[in-house]
Amino acid sequence: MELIRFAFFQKALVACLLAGIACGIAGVWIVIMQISFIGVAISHAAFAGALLAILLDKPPILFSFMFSLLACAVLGPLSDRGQLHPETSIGIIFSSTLGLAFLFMGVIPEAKSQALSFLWGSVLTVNIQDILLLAATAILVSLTVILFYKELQSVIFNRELAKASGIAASIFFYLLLFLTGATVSATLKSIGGLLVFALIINPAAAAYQITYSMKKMYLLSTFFAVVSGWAGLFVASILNLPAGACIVIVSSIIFVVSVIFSPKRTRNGSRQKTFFQ
Amino acid sequence: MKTPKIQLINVSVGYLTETIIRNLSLNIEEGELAGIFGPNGSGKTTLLCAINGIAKIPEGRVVIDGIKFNIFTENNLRRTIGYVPQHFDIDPKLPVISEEVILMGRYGKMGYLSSVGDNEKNMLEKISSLLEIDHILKKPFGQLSGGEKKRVLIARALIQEPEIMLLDEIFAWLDRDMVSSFTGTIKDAHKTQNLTTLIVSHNIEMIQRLCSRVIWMEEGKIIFDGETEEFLKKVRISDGIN
Repeated sequence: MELIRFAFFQKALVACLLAGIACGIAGVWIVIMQISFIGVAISHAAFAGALLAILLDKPPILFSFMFSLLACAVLGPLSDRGQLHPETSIGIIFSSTLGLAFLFMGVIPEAKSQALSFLWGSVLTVNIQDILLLAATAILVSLTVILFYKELQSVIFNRELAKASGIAASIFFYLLLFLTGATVSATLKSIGGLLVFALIINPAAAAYQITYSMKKMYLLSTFFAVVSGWAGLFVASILNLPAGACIVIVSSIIFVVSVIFSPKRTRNGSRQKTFFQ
Repeated sequence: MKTPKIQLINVSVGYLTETIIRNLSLNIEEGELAGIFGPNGSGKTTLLCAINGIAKIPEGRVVIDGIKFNIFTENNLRRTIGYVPQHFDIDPKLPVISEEVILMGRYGKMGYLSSVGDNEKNMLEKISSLLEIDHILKKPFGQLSGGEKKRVLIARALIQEPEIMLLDEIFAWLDRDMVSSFTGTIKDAHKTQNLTTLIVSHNIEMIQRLCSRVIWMEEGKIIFDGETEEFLKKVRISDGIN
């Protein structure tokens, strides 16, 4: 507990809180719409962008943000129009961004430690600018949910029906992708490009096992993401392990526990009423 | 001359390389109750999706109340069209209850930054009582039976207070009593609200009971468009020949 007295650890705790809020909310969209692979592709695009920025000596956050937006701009219409099978087109984008990332990694002339930090994350080294960026993202994502709750609920429930009832479903769908991309970019330094997606998916997937209320799912998902961040941070500090990896492992444990004790599991063919219903 | 409620002018619709509807033109007058009949794959569902703009229309025009469907008008026009889809598969674990699914039909009309108020709650109560779904309002939507889901989706379309109703195979999954109750509800809504209604169905008996006009489609084209009696005569003659 002495760790809490250190400024770097306090910053890390704040970073985990803010990343947990943004990832927890974005996760609800991704899990309910069952577009996990889109999210993975976006996070790898962000990682490739950060590596290109290192290569060009430019700000990594800016480039990762641009790359993730570019991925959204390509993936959104592909998924929307159904001109290609979504899994195929997303697979192509995913493998292309992964290829670009390793290409940039290979041609970076100096030591690769900064590049690798975007892969694994380094929450214990976040600075005030990183925290401000995370705060802006968390506020943006939270405000979007608060202001457009009913439109988002309708779109993530079923885009076609939302469109049929006169909601600008495509615009909201792109907004969700854009905010997911922004979340991935903002958390790249603290959680890492490879691990951030687990923090988006696992807490939301755990919340999905527990409640039939979308409002409660947002709250539980955010709670699980923040708890994963804080618990992972303490475990990493105590056992001297990589923080990003510990955060993701804690979130995976929360998911496994939620599946085992899920009130939605059917026993003897009968449906269970959930405590959180 | 009065503008038709729905006008399709030389409309062609396709998915990928396949053309489903070919150069189809059709006028539906205000307050009409028409049945769309035809074999599987004849383009009946695609026709409904063309009317509410869910299907992309590369050729031709769809005009509702004299207003052409385009990116500037589509959302306003869709708010006047209630739509009940044929298939609706959903994860039973999805965190949405039936009451929310019904209210979602109202969200487009409510506008942004507004929340569900007394007006919406009163409408929900009235419609759920009409469709006898009060007891399932708090149930997770994904756990309802096929027939219950259909009723919730019809309630969702009705709460929209539409001027046009597009119903795709709504009698599938329903038991005999429910079919009878549904036909009554559709007739009532049609009479009291002068609702322009298009019903896609394989059930010739239902079309006979409900519709004054029948549109018979095959391979994306209209083969017959006329009064129900005339249609039934043709069917009987055709059955006699076969």
